[in-house]
Amino acid sequence: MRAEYVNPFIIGALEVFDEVAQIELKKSEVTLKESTAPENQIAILIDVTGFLVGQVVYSFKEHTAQRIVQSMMPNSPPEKQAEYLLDALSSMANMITGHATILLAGKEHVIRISPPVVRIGIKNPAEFLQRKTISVIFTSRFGTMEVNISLRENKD
Amino acid sequence: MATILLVDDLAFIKMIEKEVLEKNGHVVVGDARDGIEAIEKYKMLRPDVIIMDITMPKMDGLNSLKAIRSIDPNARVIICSALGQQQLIIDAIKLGAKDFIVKPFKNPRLLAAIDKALK
Repeated sequence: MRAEYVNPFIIGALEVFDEVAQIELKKSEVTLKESTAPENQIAILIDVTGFLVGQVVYSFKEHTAQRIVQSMMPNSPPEKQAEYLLDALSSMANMITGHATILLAGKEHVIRISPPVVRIGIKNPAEFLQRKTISVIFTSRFGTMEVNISLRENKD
Repeated sequence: MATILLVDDLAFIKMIEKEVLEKNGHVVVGDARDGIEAIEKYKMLRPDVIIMDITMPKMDGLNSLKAIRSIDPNARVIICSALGQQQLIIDAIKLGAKDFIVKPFKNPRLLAAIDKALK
C-alpha cells in the first residue's frame, strides 16, 4: 500500500461531495490499519481490479448518512430520501472511487471497480481485505466519513 | 425530443438523469440495471438514445455497448460513467459510443451529448 494512492481519493471525495451534495468535507485524520473493515454502521464496499488491485470501504454513522442524502436530495420528501438513501451513498462511493481511478490510471493503464456493495450493522470480516490499509477520516457539518483504502500494484 | 433508455445499476443516478431529461423535453421510455437487461430493453423499445453506465453487475456497459451495436450498428449509445480514464474513453469510442460523460455530470453536458448523438 503506497501513500501516493491516497491523495486521489482525498481529491475525489472533496470534489464529489462539493459538486453533488454541496457539502464541504475536510480531511481530518489519516491512520494506518490492518484491514479495510469499517468503524461505522453503514458501509459501502468497492473492489478494485486491473492496474491496481484491492478494496476501498466508505462508512458512515446512520444519522450522518441521512443528513448527507438530505443534502443530495433537498427538494425530495423524507420518504423518498429514505427510499434512495443507500443508493445515493453508493453513487457517491462510486463517483469518488471513479474519480480517483482517473488520476491513478493515468494515460496508459486501466483500473476497474466493482458495483458498490452495501453492508449495514454487524459486518462479516471475510468481506474485508486483511492487508495494510490507510484510513482517512473526513469531517463535515453532518458528521464524519471514514474511507479505508488498501491498494497494490497488480503484478500478474 | 428523443426517446431514451437509461442503463445504470444505481437507481439514484437514473432518477437524476430522468429529471434532467424530462425537464428538457425528452422521454425516458425505460431503464435497465445491467448490460444484459439493457440489450433486451433495447431490442424491445428501440430508443433513440441509450445512456449507459460502465460498472454494472452481470455485464458491464462496454460489453453491452458492443452487443447492442452488433444488433443495430445505428444504435446511439452515450456512456455515462465515473470511470473517466483515458483508455476507457478510447475503448468506448472505438466500440461506437457517441460520447462519454464523466460522473458527476453537469446537466448541460448531458443535454449537449443527447443533441450531439441525434445529429
